[in-house]
Amino acid sequence: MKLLVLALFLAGIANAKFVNQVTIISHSYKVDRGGDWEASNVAATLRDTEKTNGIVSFSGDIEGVEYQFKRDTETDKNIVQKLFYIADVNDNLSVQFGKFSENWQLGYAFNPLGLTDPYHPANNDDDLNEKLGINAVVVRYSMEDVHLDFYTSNDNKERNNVRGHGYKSQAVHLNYLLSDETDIIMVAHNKEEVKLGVGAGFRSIVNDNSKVYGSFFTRKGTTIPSVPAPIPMTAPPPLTDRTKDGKQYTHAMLGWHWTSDNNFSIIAETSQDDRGLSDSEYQNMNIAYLTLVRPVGIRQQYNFLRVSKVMGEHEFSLARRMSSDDSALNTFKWRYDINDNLQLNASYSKTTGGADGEYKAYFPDQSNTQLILYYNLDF
Amino acid sequence: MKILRILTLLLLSFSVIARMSADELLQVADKFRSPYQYAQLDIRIDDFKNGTIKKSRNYKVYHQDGQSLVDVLDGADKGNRVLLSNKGMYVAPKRSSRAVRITPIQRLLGQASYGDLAGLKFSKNYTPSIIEEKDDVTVLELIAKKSSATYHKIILSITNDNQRPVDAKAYLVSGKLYKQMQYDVEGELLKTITYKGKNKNKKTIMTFISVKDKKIPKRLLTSRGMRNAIR
Repeated sequence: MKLLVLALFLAGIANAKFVNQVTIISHSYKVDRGGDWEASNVAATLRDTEKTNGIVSFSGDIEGVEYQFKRDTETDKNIVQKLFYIADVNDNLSVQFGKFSENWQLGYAFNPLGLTDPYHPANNDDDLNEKLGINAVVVRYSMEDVHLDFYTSNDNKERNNVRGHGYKSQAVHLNYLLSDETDIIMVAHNKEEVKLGVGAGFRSIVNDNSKVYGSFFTRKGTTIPSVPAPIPMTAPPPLTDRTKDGKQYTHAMLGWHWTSDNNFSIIAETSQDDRGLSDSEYQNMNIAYLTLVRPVGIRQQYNFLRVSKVMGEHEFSLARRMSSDDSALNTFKWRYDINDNLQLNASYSKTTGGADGEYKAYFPDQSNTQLILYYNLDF
Repeated sequence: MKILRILTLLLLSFSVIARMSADELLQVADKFRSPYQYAQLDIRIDDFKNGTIKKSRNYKVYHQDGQSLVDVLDGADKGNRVLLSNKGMYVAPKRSSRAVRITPIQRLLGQASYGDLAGLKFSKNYTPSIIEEKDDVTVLELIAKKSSATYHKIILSITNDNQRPVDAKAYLVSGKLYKQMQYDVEGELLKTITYKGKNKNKKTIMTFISVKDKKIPKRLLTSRGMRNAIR
């Protein structure tokens, strides 16, 4: 009822043309949980087994100031997703400042160059975990075949070294059109506590149906800690700081995307991330180190496969994210565009593999069934 | 003497027209799509089957410097943006911050491709040559300058009197005829383009509702800037 009243209120505001879009999301999920995760001391750290919550989002622009606000009934929080302005200095130069998400992603599942969006979701099929904006300023310069961005940010969050919150950073991002089919990306990124890192990527259209892409980023030191040699479980669990260890950490990704003329699509990606735990370090993991569980995974090597088919108003997809220990997260999703304003998403995710496998042992919330109803009002 | 002078002038003007190069003919033909260097066009696409409209969609197209930004105005894709830039073609769904690169030949609605909507000016992407001159029309062969053009080859017929486009046939790299287009001009501007494929029962009509002079910031014509507010 509250959501309905709020939506009606927002619709009234929309008539003043400050609002371009209102989205109401109703989200239900049921987690498939069993075994050790039912123990009360563990269950208390995880989210509810079943829940229905609502999100209301409205977005628009007021005299060029773009915004998106959200209200989430699960967290009972108002969220400023984005609030920024772009000033055009001249035809080639502009300055963007405020709170926004700067997306340097090339692929679908893995993102070595995703340095500017530390809140990236684990899974691009996860519609609810939209990238949250952070406070930043970007100066953008465009030439014929080159785009150059100078970026600086300070998210003003409490520091979380695993998720990447709470760091000031500066970066330069260059996008160069090598040919009609291929563009090259080069990045330099400076972050508090660690050394300057550099990276590069490419994106190439092979033919009318397929493209290949890849990227890597490398830096001395990482803000993501590791685990020490085996010790009895203690609280709080000690972690190994790797910011100044002088070691080179590289994250690389390679992908291929093929789409048929009748909207059948395949995405295949592989990733290697030195910041993840090696096999011996993974053996030392125990439940006390849950704080090390990052959105994309805790190990070093992953493969990803997604197949999808669009048939009229329906899209069906099957995605599989595989860890090097043969455990996997499998997600089947159905999207139905009921009408111009209403969309239904239903998904079933299941983790597979051995009991000690990463996706079984450390990602219990990922085995779930979800139903999401989107209602969009556009003005 | 006066008659001789008039005849001489007429002969000279005909010879000037006859000397128009293929490039010049194509540029004049392109002006029927938009007379402005920076243009905002309101376009509707109707998809027909057996003479009945099955689906209609409205679009706003911002065209400048040979690039286009398309705003989808209704339907399930309302709020999506499509960009045809010098770096390629992109689609940015409304709920995503990520633009996905596509090829212009991908189907937009019915027999119309993304490239048909966004690629307004042939002269930008095709090299013309005159292959036939008839009494009332000149036939041009347009060959794609870049692989990013929507079609590999287009055979375009234009009238001799004012270079108004009449019809066209679009071919793939394989040489296969992909679709046929028919142009309907009202005054100095295109009113409709009718697209037909192999299936004779289906056709798609693109209607140009209005066109006006409007310039948008260059940053909007990039894959990262295409989702920002248009002002």
